[in-house]
Amino acid sequence: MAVQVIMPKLGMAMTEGTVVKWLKEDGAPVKRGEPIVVVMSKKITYEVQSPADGVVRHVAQPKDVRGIGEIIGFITEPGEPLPEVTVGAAPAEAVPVEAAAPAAPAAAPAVKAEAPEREEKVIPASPAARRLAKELGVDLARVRPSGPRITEEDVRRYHEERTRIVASPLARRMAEEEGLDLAEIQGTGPGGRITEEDVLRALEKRAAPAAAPRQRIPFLGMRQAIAEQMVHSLQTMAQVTITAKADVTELVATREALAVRWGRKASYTDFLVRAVVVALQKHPLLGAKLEGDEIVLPTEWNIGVAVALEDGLIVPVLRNADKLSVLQISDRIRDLAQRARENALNVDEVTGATFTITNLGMYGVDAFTPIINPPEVAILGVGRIFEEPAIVGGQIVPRSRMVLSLTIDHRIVDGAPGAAFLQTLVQLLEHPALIFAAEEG
Amino acid sequence: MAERQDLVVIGGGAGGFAAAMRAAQLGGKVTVIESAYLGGNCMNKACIPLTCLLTTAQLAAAVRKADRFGIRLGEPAIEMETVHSRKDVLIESLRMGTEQLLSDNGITLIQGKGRLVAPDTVEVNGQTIQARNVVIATGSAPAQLPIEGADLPGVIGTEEAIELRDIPARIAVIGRQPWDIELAQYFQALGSEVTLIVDGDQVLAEADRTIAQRLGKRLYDAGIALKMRSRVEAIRPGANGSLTVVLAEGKGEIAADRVLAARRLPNSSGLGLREVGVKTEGGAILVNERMETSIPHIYAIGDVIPGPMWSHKANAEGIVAAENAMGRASRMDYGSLPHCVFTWPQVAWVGLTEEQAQAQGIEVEIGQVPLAINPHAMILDETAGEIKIIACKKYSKIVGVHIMAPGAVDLINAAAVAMLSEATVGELMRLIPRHPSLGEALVDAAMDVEKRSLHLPKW
Repeated sequence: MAVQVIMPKLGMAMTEGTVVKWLKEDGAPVKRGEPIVVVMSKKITYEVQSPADGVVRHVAQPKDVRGIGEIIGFITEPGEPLPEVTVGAAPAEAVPVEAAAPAAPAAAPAVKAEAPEREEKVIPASPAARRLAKELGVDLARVRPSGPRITEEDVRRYHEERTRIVASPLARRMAEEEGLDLAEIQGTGPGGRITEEDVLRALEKRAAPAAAPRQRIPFLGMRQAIAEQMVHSLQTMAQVTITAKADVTELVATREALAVRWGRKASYTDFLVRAVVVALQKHPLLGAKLEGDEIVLPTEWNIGVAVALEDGLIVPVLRNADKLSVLQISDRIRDLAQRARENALNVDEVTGATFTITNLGMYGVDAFTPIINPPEVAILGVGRIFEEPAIVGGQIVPRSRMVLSLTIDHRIVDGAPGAAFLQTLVQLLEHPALIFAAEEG
Repeated sequence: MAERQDLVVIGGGAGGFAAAMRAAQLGGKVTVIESAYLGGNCMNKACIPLTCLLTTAQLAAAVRKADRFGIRLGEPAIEMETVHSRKDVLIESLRMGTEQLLSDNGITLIQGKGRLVAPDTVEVNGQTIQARNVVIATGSAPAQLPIEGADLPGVIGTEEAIELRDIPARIAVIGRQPWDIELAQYFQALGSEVTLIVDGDQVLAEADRTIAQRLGKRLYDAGIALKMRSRVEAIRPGANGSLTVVLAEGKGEIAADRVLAARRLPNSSGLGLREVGVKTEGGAILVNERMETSIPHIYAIGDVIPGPMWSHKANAEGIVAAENAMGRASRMDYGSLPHCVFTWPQVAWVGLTEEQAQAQGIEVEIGQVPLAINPHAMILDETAGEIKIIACKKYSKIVGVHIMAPGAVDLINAAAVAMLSEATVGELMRLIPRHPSLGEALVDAAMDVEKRSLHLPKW
């Protein structure tokens, strides 16, 4: 009795999938549990395992799109006729992947065991032909035998015919003289033959205003490290970004006032580092690490500050930021950023952060979705400061605002604790006195 | 007729036949409307009968020199009745064959004059036929040359010339189209005193200059009086029912019993073209490379569109029109369309002449072999011709092949295949022709492009 192979459900939102590639040829014997076909949802690819012992029979072909639960193939007994599949008939019940294995064989109304769609028979071929076909990836069913059975020579001829470039003598000569690669020219003549016209078109394309040589940037070193780090981060964490708007009118005024007293201006990042430390101490989960099956809370308050470099970025770490005043933070950040640009940081100056701050405010960015720097569990994105009308005491007055974007790893930090941290941070920024109160206390 | 047709072809000549057959092959319901004879002008009044007559004339010419081959025959006696009855029987059998082919393919044949009454409706014999597509293949009709006296009795066109049973003692031929040269040679071989009047400096208007010069010399050597660079001012009645052709600029007068002054014009009137909106220019229906006219689903092919009036061209165009009408994408490519002149020796060419290639700014290389060095031509005692290859210096592309040789109209197909499949001069050089044969001259000419022919003397 034929067992159906159906399009599995690979995700909650998935309604249909695409057949990517059959791993077993049509008619190949297969054991239950062996991967037989690769299917793909919009998000992932998945190897479907054989639901039974038997012979694989293809129904859907690569690139075919099928709804969840629709039949894409069968596992039959050897020699058993292929059941007829009514296209568009009600699909078998959608089964999530976990339960996809042996799909219910009978019952499905879509399947009628009627006339075989095609006769399954063993293709006569010499052992050498079979071996070569396998080597070259040739489907023996497509090879025309020159005698009673397919020979090695038949396979070779088929493969050559399929792979050789067909071009007119003139096209070949032109390509040779012009230094064009025929393999890159699309043939439009009979049977895809490359003609004079095709080569002329290629020449024209080449002659077209020689696009300035494309600049190539080596994807190596720091660039590659950032790439790996970011992809790893997004692939392993459940990241969610929440934003909140802070009224920083007072912070702006405080900063100006302190600038007069200190004789130089601290950056907003300097204040933010201090505020973040205070908020973290109240919500230590945001500075936690996942170690095996344990979430480990922080004991040190090391804050990473992303610094843009000419060809990348680096995150120097302010160790024990809780022990530093805003002014000290300001000095340290200047020093770290300076040495970062000179490529003169020590390893312990770029590792071991509890939490990271990245500020794109100077580029006019409002909000964004920063990517967490593993193994941290959260990162704060800082937007620009802008003025907007607000109602204070029944009057419309201008206020300075800043959007904070907090990305949290939802595996460890749920929305509420994340929001609570953000709320604390907003309060600290809106009342800068609290920052210094904590500093002094 | 109740049933709507996929294709209605107006005109059952060479082009219309091809269009109808191809559409039927592609599964179409097809009707052909023919007002006179199936096979059209080509089969009934031009190519077929003319080639038939020319073959007789060539045999007569061969008989005259049979003694050189060791056969003593004497002056051949020509029986015009037999010549014509043979020709007529042949035409009849071809016509019947055509009718049979149409009926075998389920094509309806209606005898009558077809006319468009709407873009998708054709009227014939008072009934209307709905047509998804229409191919206009009405060919051409003979017309007088715009010369004073062209309407005089004794001034004839090609159709009358072909039907002429009494060979005139003197005939003047005005023109330099293939049929003008062919008929000049025909009458000369049958005993007429022939004068060929050419308004230009080569006997074949469109041929490569060196080929035209060789043909001109050949005609002159055979005894045809050539009046080159001569424009006819008028044809006047002469003494005893004869005619006088007066040449312009005082170049003289030619006395003749008959004057061949032929031309043909597209047969596009009375078809309802203007009413339906099909664009024409000088009577010729304008089409694109898909044979489409200005009105969708109306196609035109053959003599009724601009270009040379040859049935092999119409035939190829008919196939293209039918394929497009039946939903395929087909384009007409004239690049390998051979020009053929059934003189003896024959003249044929494909592609550009040396002059045309130079005018297009192509840097040409020439390979040229006179048949005087070809053993087979010597054996045939026919060494007046030559084979000439025009190649593009860049890439060695073959841009033209010109042949004046016995069997040139067949030999040219080898060159046409080479060009169609984009062979270069290099491929032609690698041909291995039989020895002796005329094909050797083709290979020699290819080799001469690189000046490496084994048989050409050093000049």
